[in-house]
Amino acid sequence: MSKEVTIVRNVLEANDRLADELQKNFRVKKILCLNLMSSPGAGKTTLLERTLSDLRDEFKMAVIEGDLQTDNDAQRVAATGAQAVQINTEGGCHLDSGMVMDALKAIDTEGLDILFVENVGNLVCPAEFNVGEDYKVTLLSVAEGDDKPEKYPFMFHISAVMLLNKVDLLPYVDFDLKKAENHAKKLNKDIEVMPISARTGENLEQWYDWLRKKRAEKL
Amino acid sequence: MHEMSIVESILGILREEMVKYDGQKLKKVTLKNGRLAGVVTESLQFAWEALIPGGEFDGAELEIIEVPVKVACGECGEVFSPEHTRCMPCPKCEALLGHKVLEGKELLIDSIEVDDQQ
Repeated sequence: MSKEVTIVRNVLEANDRLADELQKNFRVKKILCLNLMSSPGAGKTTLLERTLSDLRDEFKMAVIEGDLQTDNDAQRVAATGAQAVQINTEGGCHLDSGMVMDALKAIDTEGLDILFVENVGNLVCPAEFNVGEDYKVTLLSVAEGDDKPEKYPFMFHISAVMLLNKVDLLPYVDFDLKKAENHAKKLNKDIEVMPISARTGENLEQWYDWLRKKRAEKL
Repeated sequence: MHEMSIVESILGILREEMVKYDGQKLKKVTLKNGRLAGVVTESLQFAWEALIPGGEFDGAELEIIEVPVKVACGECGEVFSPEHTRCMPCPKCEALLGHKVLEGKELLIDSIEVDDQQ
């Protein structure tokens, strides 16, 4: 004999439960947590290096670094003086809340203002898993093509900010800023679009102002 | 390939649920996969078949029901099922933006079938 039983349970509930717990913790400690996502090579680590250096006197910041292998990025980030913890996913294509929770044990969160979670470079899977963040921030570099929001809609649909990085390369690539922005806004009318260059520092003030505003909202 | 870790999450829930059916065997799981959930049915099935053999749920079948997208227009409230997930013009007022997703985002374990034969 066999019988059918209705269950109806959300498959990602375990992850979401941990994400809620992280969020509560961040709320109590007044930490702004950002989930930074992009394809490999879009410039997440360079942006972080720059941000951590430029805002060093303003905020206490830490980074959780997700990577398939190596701790190269964590070392680059740590060189700025910020706390950095490495998570190696050993082939896993995204971070989840459990990994972030484990990594947090190695971070001194006392007086911490901003926690960046640098996700694994991948425009697909990281979008599915919350890691307790307040906002998702997606980087798209102009070397990748302006059709990325159209091709990877979910990522842009759920992000609060789209940073268009490497604008110093615009003279050398066929990238239409307006087109990328329009596609992203079609998916998510509230997404904030900021063209920047993490390498030259162009327009980073807009990004820093956004960080200041969102951090102030947590107090 | 996040479908692998999604199957791991499914197994976690199944282990919890099966405690209620002490000693019985899991025969089938029915899953609802929304078209906007970002999960590929074929990859999920593949991951299931890769992870199940030899374990406690050996032989159990996974049935995946794909749930179409249903939205309510952000302008006029018309409820409709868009043809494409990328571009969703409202059939009544042609608005493109601001629709509220009613169905199609879910990824749920809907039901299980258990067998009392070992």
